[in-house]
Amino acid sequence: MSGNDPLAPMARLARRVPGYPVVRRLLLPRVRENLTFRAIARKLWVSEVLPDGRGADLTAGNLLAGIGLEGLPVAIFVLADVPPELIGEVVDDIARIQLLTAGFRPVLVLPTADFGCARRYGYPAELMPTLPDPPSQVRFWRRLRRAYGTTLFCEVGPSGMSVIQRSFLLALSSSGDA
Amino acid sequence: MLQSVAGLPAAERSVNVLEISDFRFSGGTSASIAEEITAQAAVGWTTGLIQLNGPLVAQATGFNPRIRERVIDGSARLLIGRGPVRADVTVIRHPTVFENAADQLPPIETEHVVVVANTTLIALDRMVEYDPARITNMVHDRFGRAPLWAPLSTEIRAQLKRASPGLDLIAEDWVNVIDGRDWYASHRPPSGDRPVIGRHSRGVSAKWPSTRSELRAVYPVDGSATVRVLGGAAPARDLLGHELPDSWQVWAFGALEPRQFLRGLDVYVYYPHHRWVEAFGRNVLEAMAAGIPVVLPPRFEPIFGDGARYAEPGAVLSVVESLHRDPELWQRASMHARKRVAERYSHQVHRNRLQALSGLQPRAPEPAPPEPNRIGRPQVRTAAEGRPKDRPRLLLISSNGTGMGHLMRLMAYGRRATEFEPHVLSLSQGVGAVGAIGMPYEYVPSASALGMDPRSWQPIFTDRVGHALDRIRPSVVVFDGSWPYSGIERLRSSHPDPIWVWSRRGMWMPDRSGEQLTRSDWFDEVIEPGDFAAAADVGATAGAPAIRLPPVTLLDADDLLSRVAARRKLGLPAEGAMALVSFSGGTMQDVTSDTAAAIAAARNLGLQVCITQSVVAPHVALPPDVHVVNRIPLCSYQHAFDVAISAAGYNSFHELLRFGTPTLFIPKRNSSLDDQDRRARWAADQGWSHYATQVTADATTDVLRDLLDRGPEMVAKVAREDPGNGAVAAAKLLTDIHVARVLSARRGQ
Repeated sequence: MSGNDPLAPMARLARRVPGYPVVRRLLLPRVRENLTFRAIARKLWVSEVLPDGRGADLTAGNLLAGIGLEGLPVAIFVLADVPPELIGEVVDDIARIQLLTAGFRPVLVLPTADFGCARRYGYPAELMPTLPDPPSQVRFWRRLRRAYGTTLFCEVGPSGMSVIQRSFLLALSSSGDA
Repeated sequence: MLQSVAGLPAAERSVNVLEISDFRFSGGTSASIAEEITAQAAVGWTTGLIQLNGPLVAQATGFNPRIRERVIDGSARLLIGRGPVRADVTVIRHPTVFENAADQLPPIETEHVVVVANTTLIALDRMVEYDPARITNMVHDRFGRAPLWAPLSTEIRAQLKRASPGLDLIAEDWVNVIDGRDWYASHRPPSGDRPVIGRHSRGVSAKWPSTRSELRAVYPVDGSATVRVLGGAAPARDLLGHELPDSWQVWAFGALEPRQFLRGLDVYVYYPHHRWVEAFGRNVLEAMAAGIPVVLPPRFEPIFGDGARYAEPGAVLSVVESLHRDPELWQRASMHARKRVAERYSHQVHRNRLQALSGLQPRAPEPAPPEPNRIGRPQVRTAAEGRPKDRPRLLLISSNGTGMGHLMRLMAYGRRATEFEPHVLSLSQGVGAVGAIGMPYEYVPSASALGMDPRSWQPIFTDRVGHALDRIRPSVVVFDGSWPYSGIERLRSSHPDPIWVWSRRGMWMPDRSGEQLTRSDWFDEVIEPGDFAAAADVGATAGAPAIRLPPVTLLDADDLLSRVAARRKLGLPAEGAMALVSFSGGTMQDVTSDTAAAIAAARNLGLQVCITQSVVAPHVALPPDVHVVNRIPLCSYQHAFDVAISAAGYNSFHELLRFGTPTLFIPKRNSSLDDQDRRARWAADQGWSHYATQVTADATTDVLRDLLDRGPEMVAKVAREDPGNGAVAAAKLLTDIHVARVLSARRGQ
């Protein structure tokens, strides 16, 4: 929410209502998970994050919770070069960094149709198609970029994410430095 | 046999200590968990973390940075997914989180479960925060055993007893722990006109006094004390009903590292709402560990005992003033606070209680795994890691300048300051030269390198240097540059521990105002690397206070290669006279015409020509028979040359003269600050060298002929007058002021 949030005065008033702490602890977490509420929230707030609203509907998966998930940048992870036996570990790695940072929403681009690794964390996944020529490659990535409003792109190598890739993702943390 | 569901082998989901909490909390809960992880890792105990997204953190946010660091450095494993976990001891911290989010847990097999009651049971609005009996049942259902309840303080213990008389309570309070060595920095007793009071908490009303009169009594608004607040002061502003006075300095929560914040305080004064029951007060513990005398409401006495001073609000200021007036009293209070921290709240205290609970034995930390960059994989950080090595650190910061002078002087200091571990941070793109002499270095782009307005660039400088200060933790910082950046003043305020020294060359152009000399106040010492031509110095620094040293060069005569070795290493012909043409750092004038004329003059005398192509000079197209060198430091090879034609920058001037190369100096035209013309003329007046304002082939031919004839006689005069390399004196001075600071701190303890 920004400093100009239209609901801020209402929120201040609500905090003074007797019983607000109970509502905050017991009710609000459930409301936040409600799809209708999230749709309203997107209409109210997301326009500040993504001018055209693209990507706002994309889930952040099941590890994170709280207000503002809709505003996290969408990061595409291309796992096409990762050997199948390592994919689960790479996705775990992505998941841990996401949980540590709350800094991005992953979209996985997988080499094979084994989506279990993505489902474990509720991450969206795409299957890497055969792209015979540069025009078709451009079309594919344009489609993904437009679909998800992607701003981050991470091509994972055969041995997993590099130190630089991992450090960059950690630097997306919403909670600053130690 | 445990199954690997989340991708980690089962062995990695088996840990000595399992911490369950919401690691997104910004305050003391997370700080305490981070300390416990460190304490555990130091004796080789593995720690697993399971995150519960509890109801108290509304915003989607990442882990608390302190905990995130522990995961990144391998001190703790982040256990995700639904795979079973095994632990010797499970520590649940924050009962409310567990009560509301336990359904997120995977199956856990554990020998012991401790529920750390780290928050008050009754909120300020008298609402019951959590139900101990219900949580006890939940733990029993989930873990198959009853928990041991561990209150943080006697107050929480009493609340638990009242709420659930049958609870199994641990004998000793589960106090927060801290590594005092990480927090303490030598402090001097207060020296300002008025005391500096500080406090650190989240900016919520429960953490502030409840009435305006109490607030004004504890945190003066009349300017009688400086009040520094970390964490925001909106509740204070609301209570006062007006803006905060100028004597208050407020930072948002998390805007400053608490260690930095504490170092700027004389006394820590913490007075929360009178009805607020502080479960412990980690902020207070941190102040005590930092050696800051603490003043608290009397109700804190059962927690902190004689480690702090206690006063009713009306008496706070008199306690503060007595500490401010009496350095010995202040020192005693500081020492006492630290002593109590070491006795009652050390990492060992935490290890002892875990040991008593579970029988865990310390063991040698495991070696780091081969893939240290894998998040969440086990690594054990030893207690020694992350601390400064034996030698104190010396941070050498250079501005970019137009040549290499700033950098070379700092390298000269660092090379001889053997008592220190030097580290260079430079704005010069020639910083790679530092690596050549084996010193660690880093580069920060200057405003001009980024094409930015200096004002827009200052925050970048402040952020980058601040980060370097946090990381390197230097005892002494030396800045070499003619204009200390505004960020330095802010950095001094945020990092008051190091001794700051301004290394400020003289010989400024006489028409420069020298307004930056007022910035001398930002430094503990100002040193002036001397100039052979100091007698001719009429610039603004000539009369300014500074410790004046002999001229500074990176190398001494003994360091230079012989003529034969130098020519061999440079790939130059072994025979024949050779002229060095060096207009390095020539970004401020068109060096092309000067270089062409110098080459022509040398050819007139049958001299071979070697020109420098400095890393900071523009590319100049050259004839094929002209040799090019780009070695740094070039003076190592200086004996390869019989004569030189050079600009008269500080470095070239002193190296060429000190190491005996007969030289024609051509001062740089349009120099912004360095008075090269006066320097070069002075040397010519002494008969040490020749001087010209421009290079023409005919005139330069005559001068070179004279240098070949009389050069040795000219440079012999320099040798007789040279007072020696000022780098040695600078290194000794840096050592002396550091030792004096250390001794002063010890005397104060």
